[in-house]
Amino acid sequence: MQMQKIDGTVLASNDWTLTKNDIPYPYTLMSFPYSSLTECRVGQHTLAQICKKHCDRYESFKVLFNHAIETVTQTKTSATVTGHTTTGEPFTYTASYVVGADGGKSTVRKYLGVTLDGFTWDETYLATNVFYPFEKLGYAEANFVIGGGMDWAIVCRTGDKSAPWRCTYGEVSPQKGSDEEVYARVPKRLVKFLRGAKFEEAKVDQIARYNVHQRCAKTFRIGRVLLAGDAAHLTQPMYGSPFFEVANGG
Amino acid sequence: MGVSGGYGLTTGITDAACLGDALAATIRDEQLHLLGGRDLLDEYNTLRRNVFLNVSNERSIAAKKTCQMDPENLPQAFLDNVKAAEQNPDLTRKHMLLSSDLQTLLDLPKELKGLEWGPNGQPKVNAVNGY
Repeated sequence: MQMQKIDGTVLASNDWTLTKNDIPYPYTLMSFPYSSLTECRVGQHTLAQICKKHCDRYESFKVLFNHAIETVTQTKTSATVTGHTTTGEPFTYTASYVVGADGGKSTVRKYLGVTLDGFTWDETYLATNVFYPFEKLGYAEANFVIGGGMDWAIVCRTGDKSAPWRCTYGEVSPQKGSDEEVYARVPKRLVKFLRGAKFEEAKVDQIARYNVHQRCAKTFRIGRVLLAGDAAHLTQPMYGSPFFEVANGG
Repeated sequence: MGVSGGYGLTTGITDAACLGDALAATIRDEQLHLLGGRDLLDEYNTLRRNVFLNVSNERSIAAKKTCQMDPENLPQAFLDNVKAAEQNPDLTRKHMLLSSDLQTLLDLPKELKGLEWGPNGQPKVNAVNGY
């Protein structure tokens, strides 16, 4: 992981092997896999498979896909969920406890009426998958790029040499710019991170625009129902050592 | 255990670690009665909300501001920190380990630590006890 200026100046580097004597698994978890000598990122898909493998060791554990929960109720001694499968079959399950780890749009949280307090940033993030050898432009395997205002970026490999790189940068809020406008200026925006290479040499594969929030559920527990993960809290994805934080009031 | 990565996923994984321990110990204690009125699920709620609000949320907001600085007018304090880290790999190592602040451990009696789930769906003491 490196922090670079938009012109390619390296400001800081994190080499995870530095922590090999401190922690048993010096890996970093990200939404896509990549591994090298200095870094092992475990993709979300792989992580899910690892979790499933561990869960399968227990007879009492069962994964049911395609079950959408609609209601969550409880008594003094149990909690019950009901809903329908994607093929329309109704289901009801009763247990001692229910944990809603069902993502940012959590049905469990909404059904309980728990508010997600905080704020939504007045901007959006644009995630682009780009076929271009970014390593030739001086990028490390994962980079935070400081470019000022909306010209920051997170630039990461998403896999081996044949896979695209992910370049995520800042964009305006939906109120200030439609998807159409924002997508139309992708070439103009992306070329800033290509460090002199021609945009025509890169191929943009996929684009996704998303809202970013700093929000936390008012409570993670109501009786026998609990919330965890994105169902309980949301944050924008940039992170770093507090060491590099600056109070700039921006 | 060590954790690192974006604070959304990482806070979620450390939530799960804390909640797993809290639930297993709560259910096990229905027989053992060692908790003396402590409610571990309330402790989970308090610990994890505090971690999100004071660590994940604060640091994510600060990191966003750092990434959005003007690259041609970086504050001197920031540049000084960059230089210090460059000259001292051990300092960088310490920064990297700061993600461990996201982890919260419940203070549990040893009989309720490191529980695993038995075949009957009831938690039992793990052979590898503790954290």
